[in-house]
Amino acid sequence: MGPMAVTIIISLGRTPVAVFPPVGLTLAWYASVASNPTWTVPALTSAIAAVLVMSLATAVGVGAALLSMRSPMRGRSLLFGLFLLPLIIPSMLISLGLALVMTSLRLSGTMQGLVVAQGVIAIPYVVLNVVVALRNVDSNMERAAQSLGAGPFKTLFWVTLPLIRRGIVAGALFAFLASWDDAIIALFLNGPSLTTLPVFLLGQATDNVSPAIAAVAGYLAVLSIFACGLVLTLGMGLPALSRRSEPGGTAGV
Amino acid sequence: MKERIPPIARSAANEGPGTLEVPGPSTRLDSNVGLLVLLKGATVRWLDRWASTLVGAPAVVYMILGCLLPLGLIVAFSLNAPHFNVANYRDLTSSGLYLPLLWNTLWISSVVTVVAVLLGYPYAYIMARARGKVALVLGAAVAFPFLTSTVVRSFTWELILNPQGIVTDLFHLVGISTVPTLLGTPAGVIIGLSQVELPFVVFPIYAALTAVHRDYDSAASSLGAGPSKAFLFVTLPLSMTGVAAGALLAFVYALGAYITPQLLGGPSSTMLGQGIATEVQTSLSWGVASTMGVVLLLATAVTFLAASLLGGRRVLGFGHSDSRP
Repeated sequence: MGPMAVTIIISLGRTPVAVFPPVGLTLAWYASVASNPTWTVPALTSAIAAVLVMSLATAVGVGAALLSMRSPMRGRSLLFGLFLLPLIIPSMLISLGLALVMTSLRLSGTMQGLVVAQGVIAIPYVVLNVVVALRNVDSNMERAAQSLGAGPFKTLFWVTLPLIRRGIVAGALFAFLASWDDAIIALFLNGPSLTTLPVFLLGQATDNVSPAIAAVAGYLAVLSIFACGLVLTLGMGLPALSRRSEPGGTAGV
Repeated sequence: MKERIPPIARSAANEGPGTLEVPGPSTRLDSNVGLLVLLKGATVRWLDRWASTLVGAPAVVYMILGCLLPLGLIVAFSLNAPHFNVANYRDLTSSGLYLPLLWNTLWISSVVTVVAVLLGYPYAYIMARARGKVALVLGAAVAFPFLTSTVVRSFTWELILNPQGIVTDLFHLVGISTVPTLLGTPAGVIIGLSQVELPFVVFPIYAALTAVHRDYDSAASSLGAGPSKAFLFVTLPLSMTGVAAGALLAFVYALGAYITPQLLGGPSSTMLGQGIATEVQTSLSWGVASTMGVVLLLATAVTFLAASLLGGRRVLGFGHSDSRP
């Protein structure tokens, strides 16, 4: 947390080179960054990708969670491990592999390729959150619905889903952040018109940095605080982050 | 579905108003309807059982194509597909650049893991013993960087460790004039990576610590152990599964780290992840990059294997020592 505070203080400095303690206090850097297309274009690219990834990952991930928790098949916990695999293995591996896939399909540098690739690392977050939510669902509700004549899909859609909507929202939020913060996949799938904010930031972070970059970091910090607040208000903070409850027993590697 | 004229109406239309033919179960129409009802019933029952699996089927396909296929491609490309030889491996082992890379990765990852655990355990302990609200705040404080991009987090460390940064000022304050610059050195990478990985370490330890019932502390003291003894011989051993899980996560993360060492490190601290990224970006040599990727994969697999052999499944799915299928 400390480094974050330092960055924000630096971003308020007046000098063209970032120094600490800052000389003079100004919000000018924040204003200049917001109006500079060099920064806003990557930010917009990141935002579009993140929204698309969030939608895709949530749609797919909820189904994955339902399978993990409700399916009678025997390989269930193995599949659950598959869903969480991107969290366990180094992201460099997944990113390299996805880059290979996307380049072979000539989708490198396209938004579609990026969204599908980032979806892979976003889905585990959705699955985790929804699985935790499913654990707290009273299955008597579903049985009641079925005893009243609702078919399985109807039950899933009209009974189960509303009961877990907090988990779905939390998962969607984490999926958004996973895409927004991702730098490695975006780096490998980078294209002339497809640069995301973290990738751009990576290129800008040299020794003599201008407080403008610190201002960008400041914006991102505010966004993170906002996201953190959302997570806390959803009441899914700690339980979702500690992987204590797993369906189908120990689903190791 | 075709509109079916009820048998009664049909025969009435054909045979005139005075005749009524009551359809019996032997008429062909009825047995067709019966078969359909049977099929529909079977389908409904099948769906009842497999609906939840069907919903997850797209996810399975997605993850196979998105996770397993990429890993397979890495192995394939390292073996120089479509030719399939070990040329890449020979080049890699004979090149003088590769071994230092691997060595750096291994020792830096180890140090980072140790530092992260040493820093994370006290934090997790305080968090576990704190009252509800305080624990939440502490959790948020350590999780908050988790919600920020690694780029931003590493960048903030770059600002701090900079020769013009506050570390220098702090050293000046204490009276040391010539300050060794930490940026571009392994030390800088270690500091940065440890902080980045703290959430990975704190949360498993916290989970393990909260599983240790407070009554154990009272039990220990009722048997005559002082607080430090109670901690060393009761709490600490019981929380080791959490420590192991956190250390595992931290080590594996460090093995494949790219952003933090790239921003904070220098030539003497280059790690495997950076090697892979350089090959992909500058020379576009997928073969070499994949070969290094396989090395990373092997290192990860070996780490997990060692963890499961040493700690058993308790470490991998920590908190559960039961064997639910």
